[in-house]
Amino acid sequence: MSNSKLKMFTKLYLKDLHEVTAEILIVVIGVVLVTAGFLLGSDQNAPLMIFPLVLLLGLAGLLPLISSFKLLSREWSQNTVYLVMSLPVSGAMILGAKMMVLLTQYIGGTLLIALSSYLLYVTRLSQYLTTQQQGLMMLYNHPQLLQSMLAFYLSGLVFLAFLCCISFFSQIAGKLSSRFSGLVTAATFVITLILSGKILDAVGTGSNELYHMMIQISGNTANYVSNMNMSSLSYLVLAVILFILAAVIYDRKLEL
Amino acid sequence: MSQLDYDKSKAIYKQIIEDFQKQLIRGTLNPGDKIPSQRDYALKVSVNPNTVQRAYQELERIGLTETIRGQGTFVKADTAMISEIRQEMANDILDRFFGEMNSLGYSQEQITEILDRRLMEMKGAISND
Amino acid sequence: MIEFDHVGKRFGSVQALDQLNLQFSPGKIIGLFGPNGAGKSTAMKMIAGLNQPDSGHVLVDGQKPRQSRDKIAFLPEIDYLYGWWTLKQAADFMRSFYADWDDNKYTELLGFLNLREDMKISKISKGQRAKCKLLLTVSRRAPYLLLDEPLSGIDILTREEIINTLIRDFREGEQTIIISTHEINDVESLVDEVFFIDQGRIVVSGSAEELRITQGLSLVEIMKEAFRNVQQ
Repeated sequence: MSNSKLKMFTKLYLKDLHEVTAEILIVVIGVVLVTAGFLLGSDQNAPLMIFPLVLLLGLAGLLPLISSFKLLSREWSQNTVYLVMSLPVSGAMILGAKMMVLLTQYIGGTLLIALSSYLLYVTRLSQYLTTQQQGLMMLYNHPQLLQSMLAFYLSGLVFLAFLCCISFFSQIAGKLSSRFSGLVTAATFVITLILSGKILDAVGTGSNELYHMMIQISGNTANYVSNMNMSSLSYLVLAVILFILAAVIYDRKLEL
Repeated sequence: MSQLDYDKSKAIYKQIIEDFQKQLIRGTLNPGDKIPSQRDYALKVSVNPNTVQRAYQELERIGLTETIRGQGTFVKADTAMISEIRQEMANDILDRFFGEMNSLGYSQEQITEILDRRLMEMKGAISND
Repeated sequence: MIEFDHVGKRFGSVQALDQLNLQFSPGKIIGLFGPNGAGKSTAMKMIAGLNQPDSGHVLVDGQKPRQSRDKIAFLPEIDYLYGWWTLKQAADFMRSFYADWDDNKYTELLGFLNLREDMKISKISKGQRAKCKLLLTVSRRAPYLLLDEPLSGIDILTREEIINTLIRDFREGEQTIIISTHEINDVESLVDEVFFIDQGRIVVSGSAEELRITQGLSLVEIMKEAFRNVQQ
């Protein structure tokens, strides 16, 4: 019987995906409702649907972070950590599967909303803006725009991964203390976030820089894209470091 | 012999052997009969298979059973052996009887008296049926 | 073989294990007996790699426990399965992680224990859950089977089923089963060797049958004796 790492990872992934069913459903049902809202409603009300869509977008971005806490802490509160920690796999795989679920949540949620937004645009809003073809033409003629959008989206993804890594790291640090785990988790989260900000500012790719970059959108888009990518890269590096730390502590120091 | 019947303060493998011997004496097991496999017996009496193995090995060592490869374990004891075991068991019981009666303070004459009386009663009870 | 060499473990102010020395010989059913809080669960978790000694070391076949997780099937006392799982999903999960999973044994024991694959873990009775846990653990041909209080809180009929399952599938010489419990009565006839532990130390150990022969007492009575002495 082959027990490839991929098979094991998949099982962990599917199991963790099930654990966040509630959060996934919130976004899905929200999008379905809003979509039904503008499909069945009048043309007049349709533009209003932008607001709930934006809200849902925020939710789609935020819920994975909340899920990151649920995914780890639940293992302890439900005692399933006894099962998970006994499995003949590394902490990296355990945490990796959870991270993959969180990224799936984010990508799935945002894509769903993008789809719904496009649907909204196509069915209800086209009269307010240039025709579909003109809209697509714009993208076609200015590939940099597409690149920027992609870079922006990816940086959002990386930033989420970064936050989730801090979440994992804080929770695992919290589990090192049996009596004050909640306190340690919260403190570690805040301290790590602040420290990361400071490190990135020092390196020159921190939030200050990001803000300035966003204002420059109208300027040189190529510059913008590469700056955004640099910023993402540094967040990614930090995320990876935190992930590795979390995995190592899980493997060597956590006890039941 | 179910899970509840054996005395937990004595070696279990010895009790398994004793139980086997009693079955031979009573005739519930006869020479040539096939006895359950070690695993089946362990399951039946809820005992560790290692313990059962020790009992079965001992039974084979003293010649009461033999294992034929591929066929199972069979009673090897003949009637002479069985009557010998019966006598040994009876002697053990008598040893215990006399030991306990002596500790109660009964002399040999008193013991003979009690035994005679009791045997009479038993004979009478039988003839009254 | 499992070895504990001068193992110490402290939780806060409690010394759970105190210079613990023992060897579990392979191929036997071993009883780890002692009152609640004696250190049994701590020792079991240490073998499973779920905690580490403060001092001394534990070795499983010469390796550290965390490297030997694929050889160890640990059955903790608590409910450790995902409530939303069905038995089938749980088995499917285990099958993917352990190369020693035996599907034939799984199917056989499923019938023997009167369980159905569609049973949802959160919805079945405690006894049925105990049987499910046992099924999932025993369906692996793991060389080391660690059972932490496998019978506590279980009704008598289910207990018999569990004990019979262990007897039925025990691979003498190949498999080592370690049962930790404070209810010695249930497993008196099941164990080859016993280790009585109290306050993190071994107070009595040996072959069950030899102890019965030399002391003329049942294991339950031997434990009472041992702990009476310790308390003095």
